[in-house]
Amino acid sequence: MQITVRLAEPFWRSVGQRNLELELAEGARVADLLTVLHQRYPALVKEFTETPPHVFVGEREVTPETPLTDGGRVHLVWPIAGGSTQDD
Amino acid sequence: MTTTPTLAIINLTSGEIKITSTPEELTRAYLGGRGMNMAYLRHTLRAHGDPRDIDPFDARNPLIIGAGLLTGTIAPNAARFNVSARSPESGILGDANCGGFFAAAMRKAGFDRLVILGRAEKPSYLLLEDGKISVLPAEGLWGMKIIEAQDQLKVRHGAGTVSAVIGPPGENLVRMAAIMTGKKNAAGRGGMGAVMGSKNLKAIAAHAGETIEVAQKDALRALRVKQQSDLKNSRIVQVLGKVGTPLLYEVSNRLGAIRTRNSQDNFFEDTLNAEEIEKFSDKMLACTSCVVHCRHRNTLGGEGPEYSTIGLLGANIGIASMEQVITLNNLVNDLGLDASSIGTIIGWAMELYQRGLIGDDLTGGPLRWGDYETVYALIEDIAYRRGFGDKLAESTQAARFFPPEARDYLIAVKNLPQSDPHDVRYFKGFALGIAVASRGADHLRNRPTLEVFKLPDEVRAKIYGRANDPDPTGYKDKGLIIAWGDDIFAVTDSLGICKFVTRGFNSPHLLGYEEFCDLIGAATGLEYTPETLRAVGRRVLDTERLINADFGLTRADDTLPKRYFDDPMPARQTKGHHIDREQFQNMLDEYYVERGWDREGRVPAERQEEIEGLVVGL
Repeated sequence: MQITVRLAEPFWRSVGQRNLELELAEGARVADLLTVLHQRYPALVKEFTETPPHVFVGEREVTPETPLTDGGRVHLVWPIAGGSTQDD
Repeated sequence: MTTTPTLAIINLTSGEIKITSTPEELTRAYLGGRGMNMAYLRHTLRAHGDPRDIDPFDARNPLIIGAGLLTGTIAPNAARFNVSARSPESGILGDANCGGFFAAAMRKAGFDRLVILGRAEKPSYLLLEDGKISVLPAEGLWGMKIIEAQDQLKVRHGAGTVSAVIGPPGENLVRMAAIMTGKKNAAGRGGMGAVMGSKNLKAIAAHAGETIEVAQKDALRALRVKQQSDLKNSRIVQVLGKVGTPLLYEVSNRLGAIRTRNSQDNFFEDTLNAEEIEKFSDKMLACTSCVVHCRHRNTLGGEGPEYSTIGLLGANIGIASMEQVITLNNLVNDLGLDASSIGTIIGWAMELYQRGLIGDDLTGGPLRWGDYETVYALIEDIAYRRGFGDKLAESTQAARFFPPEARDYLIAVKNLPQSDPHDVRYFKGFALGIAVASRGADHLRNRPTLEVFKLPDEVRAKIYGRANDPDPTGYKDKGLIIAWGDDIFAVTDSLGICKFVTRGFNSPHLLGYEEFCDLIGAATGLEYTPETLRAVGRRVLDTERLINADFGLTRADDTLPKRYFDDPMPARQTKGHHIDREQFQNMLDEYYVERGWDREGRVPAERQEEIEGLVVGL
């Protein structure tokens, strides 16, 4: 099945592009997607180990066990929620 | 101490200038920056009787400008200063924190803190040089915008002159006017620029002299080398140095936590993602002694935007073009306005217009989401107090021109518009934080960003001092983590250090109490332990609480915008979340216990006596 992956800051910098199209086996789960990403882009292993991403499928945050479906859009987001300090 | 902080008390009415020093006992108690400002603010406001009798534009309202204890040294990211007064925007404690290069120049010109009283007969500015202060006429400067005014001061006093200035909004007493230094660094919150304008004071120019004397030069240099190396290995520091705070937009937006159309919606267009800024950014800039370099220089003539500006002059008012957001960012900065307040206030007015609560008779024409040209003109009208802009120039106090139900749509706490674009209905600790922040709705007093890290229980327990509930969307233990954030951020602000290198703000690592103790010792010779340093943070919070109590604030003022209680978030992961009123009160109870306050949020009498026993020395 075809999965679209969006890598937010800073993950895309380890890959060189922000959007990926990946072919996964039927029945694949989020954990399988992360494994494929690790294999193709080893630099992401360090990134994901240091700061495990928040994974969204469509509009919902999901777990590694969540099954994926054909045409799914996965968004990998850095766990951060600060604010600006410059315009204080 | 190696050097005693130098304090100048400037009476613009009489022209009298007294240069003295801050008692060491007070430095030990408050460090400098925000903490020390609070000691002087409380003392000065109470010197005339009831602080409630001093209107923010009364000449007796002090304008206090204080550098952090480490500001201007080679300690990492030690660039910052605080500006404090009674706020004309909120009517309570006003306090803004600012980076850039001004504070280091002020210290190198011989001054750690200025307490400015009175009102100059004619527009004036201050020149700080070689330990002396001159009050000079501001003829030719009054009316100038931010960049032009600073350039003119360089022409008058030399290229090395660094200044903090107000623009037309400050001169026109716009209640969300900022004090600016450089193209973008803003002491933005609470209308400190309007207080400066009320004193007929256009600028403070500093001509830096010698470097700042420190206790152990070699030890401080060694700490700098080590800490800089550690910080540069931090992923958050690396990312901020490439992308800046705009990286936060995509994160909040994907979650469904970006304030959109005055928080009627909670997500917006992807066209405001950080990658869009790269088309307009040609360099990353830094403040004095900074190792992060988080500020974009944009190709449209300014600096920024930050995440806050993208959210509040973008999603919150329905503008989806990054080029337009950057143009508005540059406009508000060059005028000298608080981007957080003006974005919130315009979004509020747009919703009132949408609901028919105000009409063309008041606004002078349609006020629609995403109408860039109208927003641009409205910002200028606010700055110069023209037409409907004259009404909005009153910030939250503009409610008096609108029907009573208009307040139901105002995203503010204690009459200060919310500072950041994060919709706090999902992460309950964020909500408690803005409800109790001493200057009103603001994320930079205590934001518990570690809540989103999913840290192991033992790590969370080690950071916060005891086991705590890891669920950021629950209500339990939030009082604990907000009190922890309160204290370390108060210390950071009192040292003059940026929160981007402070433990707890986006990282469980970075500089914490231990590293701060080392820096203070090497820079000043003062000895602290992590415990005694955190006690400074507690003292700052207690002093701020006492200042606000003088203005009549009570537990009832530690609350949230009505919408955050009553309207569930409409979409995405956060859908359905709102703040439960009863649970919110439980969070407050827990928070007061953590702070050592009584059930009504009052500082105990013995603590008040202890604080009043400190010699301010004015």
